[in-house]
Amino acid sequence: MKLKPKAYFSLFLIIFFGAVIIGAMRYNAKARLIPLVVGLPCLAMAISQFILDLSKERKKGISGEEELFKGVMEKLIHQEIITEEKREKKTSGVRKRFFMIVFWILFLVACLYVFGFSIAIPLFTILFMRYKREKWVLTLSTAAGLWILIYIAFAVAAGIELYRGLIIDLLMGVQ
Amino acid sequence: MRTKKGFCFAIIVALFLSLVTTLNAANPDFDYYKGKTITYIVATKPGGGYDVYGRLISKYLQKYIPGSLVIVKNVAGAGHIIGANETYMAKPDGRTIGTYNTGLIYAQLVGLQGIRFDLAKYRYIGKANSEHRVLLVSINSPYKSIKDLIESKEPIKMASSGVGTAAYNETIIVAAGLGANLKPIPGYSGREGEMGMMRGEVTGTIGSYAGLIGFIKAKECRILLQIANRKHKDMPDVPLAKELNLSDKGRKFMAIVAGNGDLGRLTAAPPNTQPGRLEALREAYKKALNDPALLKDAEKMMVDIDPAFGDEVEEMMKEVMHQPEENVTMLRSVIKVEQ
Amino acid sequence: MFEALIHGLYLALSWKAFSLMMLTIPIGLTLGILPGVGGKVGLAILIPFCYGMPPEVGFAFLLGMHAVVHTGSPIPAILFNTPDGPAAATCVDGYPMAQKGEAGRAMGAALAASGVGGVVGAICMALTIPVVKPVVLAFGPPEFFTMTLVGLTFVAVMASESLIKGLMAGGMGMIISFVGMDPQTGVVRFAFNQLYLFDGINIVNVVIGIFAIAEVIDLGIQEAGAIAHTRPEDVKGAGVWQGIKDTFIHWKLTVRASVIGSIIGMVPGLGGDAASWICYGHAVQSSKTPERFGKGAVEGVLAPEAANNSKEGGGLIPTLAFGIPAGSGMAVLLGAFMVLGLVPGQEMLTKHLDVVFSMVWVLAFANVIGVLISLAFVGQLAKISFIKTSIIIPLILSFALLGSYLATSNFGDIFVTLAMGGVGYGMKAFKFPRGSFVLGMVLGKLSENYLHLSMNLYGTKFLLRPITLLLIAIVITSIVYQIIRKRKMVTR
Repeated sequence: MKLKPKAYFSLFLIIFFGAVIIGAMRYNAKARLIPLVVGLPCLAMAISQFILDLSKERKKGISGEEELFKGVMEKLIHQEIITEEKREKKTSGVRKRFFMIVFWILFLVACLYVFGFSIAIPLFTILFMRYKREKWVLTLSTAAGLWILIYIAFAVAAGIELYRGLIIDLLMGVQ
Repeated sequence: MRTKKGFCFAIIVALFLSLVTTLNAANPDFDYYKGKTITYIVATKPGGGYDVYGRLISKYLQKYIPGSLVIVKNVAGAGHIIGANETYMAKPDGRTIGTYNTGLIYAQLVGLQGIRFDLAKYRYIGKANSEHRVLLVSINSPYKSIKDLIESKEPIKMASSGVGTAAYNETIIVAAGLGANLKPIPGYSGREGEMGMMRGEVTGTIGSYAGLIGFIKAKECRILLQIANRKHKDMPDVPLAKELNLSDKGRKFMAIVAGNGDLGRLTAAPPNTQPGRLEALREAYKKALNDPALLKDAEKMMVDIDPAFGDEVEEMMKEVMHQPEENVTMLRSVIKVEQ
Repeated sequence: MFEALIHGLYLALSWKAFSLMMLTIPIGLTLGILPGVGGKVGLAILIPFCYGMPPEVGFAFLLGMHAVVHTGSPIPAILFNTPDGPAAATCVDGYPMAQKGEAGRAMGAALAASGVGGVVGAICMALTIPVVKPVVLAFGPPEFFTMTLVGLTFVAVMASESLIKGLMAGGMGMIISFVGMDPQTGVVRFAFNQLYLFDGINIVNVVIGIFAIAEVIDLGIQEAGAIAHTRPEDVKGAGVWQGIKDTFIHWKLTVRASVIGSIIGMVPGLGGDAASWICYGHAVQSSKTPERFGKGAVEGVLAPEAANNSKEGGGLIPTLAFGIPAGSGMAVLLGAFMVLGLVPGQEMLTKHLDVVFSMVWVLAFANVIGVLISLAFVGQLAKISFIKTSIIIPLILSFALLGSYLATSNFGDIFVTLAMGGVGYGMKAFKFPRGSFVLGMVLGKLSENYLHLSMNLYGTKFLLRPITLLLIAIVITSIVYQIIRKRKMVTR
């Protein structure tokens, strides 16, 4: 049975509160008291919410994020920022764009881990903006601007050592 | 005949002596560090006390190890355990050193999960300050001397931070050491304990002199005891723990707390660090902490310097860590923590 | 006392003190704007320069920076939905205002409210000096516990859509706050044997995740356009000036929030984050049209911002009066003050009252000046909400992840932020109020600790203390009031 997205979220909450209760049982009485006082009613509420979410939708199968998206799109059209045809194309691709942005975020985190902040941020900016088909001039100046801002603001002024990434650690011969 | 025997004997003695000296006091190997980076791990995030000391020391260490670059790496988390672990597990090539809270002694004694270090096995480079522990009571409490406290039949409520923290453990250990009826009330974070003392909901607290200095200067409390190996210059009239008439076991307990206080702002290297490089680090550290420029900087950063170096620090740590078996068991039972 | 007031003003306005204060105000503003950095770094940078300064000059130097750290912090919250801890409450309505094209108005309101808050905080500080001891001492763990209960009732207040969702969000927040070592038992809870989770989950990561990261996901889906869903020309009366006017139109709320913030700062039991959220909840509850909140109601920006700044003035009181610093930033400040020659305690409040008043004046001036400086360039910053998403997304992501990394300098921070981003997006899409979640997290562990502490100290009798009873009455009244209001709204 395919669930609507919001039902998945309620299911997630059931698992969350259930795990909390099971986990809390391992601790002594004092440590488990308040987690149970909070967790048990929340579990009950999560279950009832899940049941509510399973019931038939009055509007035809519109998911939470699509509803949100529709609202934004309507405003943009109303302001004549994008045209009607563009909207048709865009509404159908919501799921695809959701996964794309999640991919990009995870990609940035992976870059951060390997290359550290100073390299990953300009790198990501360039790749992302080119993916969005922005002109090279804009892309490079944004990347440069960000790099300068970050470098000056944090590393120099605040004297904070930013995460250097595995590669730099390797290059500098540090553990 | 005699001269030949004498000659042989002299050679043997000379050989023996040179062997001994090479094994024990390796020559400081400064050449190794030319063009190399030393990572100084600070077990807190930037901006805290350990970070200030770490950055100050690293600046001057670099000065006295020509050609080197000393950088501070903040490795925070789990109450200094993550940073202490990382220092312990680093390659013992003399290029990683670290600083962390000596209060980890209690965590180690209790066998806290996740600990991968043994405080007794680090190679210590030095320590930068002492953190005198004091026992104080509210100015409104009826206890005028430590004797009053010990003889009290009523349980005396002492404000303390959470169960399992160094401050909590010290309260229990001091209570056991003094044979006093001190009851720690956990859950006072930050400086809430002092407010509690003013409200009269708790009677006193045990903490570091530097941390409580504001409260002390405001004359809201009475210091009944100092727990350290030497008296603090600001407290000539407050008795030292070791001046009290305590049982043997009691003395040993107080020695742990005193030792912990004396070994403030440690700098340590991983166990089995190359002897020559360790010597270089120790020498540089000693020069750094005696450098008037560092002392001036320290004054500007408003931190105190009361150093001890190399072997002396290792001896102090060993004395604190190597407790007789019965003490360890008693300590474990006294500061047990559920996991 | 009046002479002390005047003499204090004279000290604060002396050439050296004033000019040094002017020097450090921009530093404080800049540090406040950068997410995750904050005041302690500023103090670490400035303290070496204090060496050898006469006391009043040194105080002005340090306080000038400290007073305005929270003035700049709403800017990333409003423009990018990227808060830095206490400013998070400002996101809830500040960012939606930016989405409506009213970023300028939001920032103007935030700044003006900060200014008012700072000044009121300084005034409260001055007024409570004679009565400081009994006031501060009247609040103990039982009172803190009931104060957290009052705060927790706002979890429901912020649930405009569905009460169940609000309560679950709040419950989730509370559970997240329980992760880590429990101070009452030493048990490490919900940490899955990860050393990183030993100290608990840091609120900065949570707040950046559920607001900033979730917003980036939305912007990614939206693809075209910008943060603002309107065009700059179409938004009338949305400028900075309107925001300033709003502060004075809603002056009663602004002042109330400032006073509440000041009190919370004074009795440090609750901590800084609680102040802005409690005032936000109060703004929702006291409004005749609470359904506007979360969608860009300017009062949702005014209240938390006023509280954020006023609590600093409140926090100086126990620091100066008893030598008990209200927070780690205050601890560093106190240490610096003492080296400069200050001796906290009764002496401070009697023989050196003029120095205390000079601090009050510095706080007031620094706040006003900081606000004026910020107002000058904030109008330009508002245009950021009209920049297209392809530039904005890398910008927000960079700042968000950087700010969250600075929470504990552990890469684990980034993972927590990501996870919270996912949860935050789900909460936004499925209408779970994120404000309730954060409030639950801010107050959860605190309420548990104070409950156990109160029981430990007084047994169940703690409920019979006068102020506690008063607060319990407030809790009950608040709940009843909300139920009645919800009924009224349903029947409307």
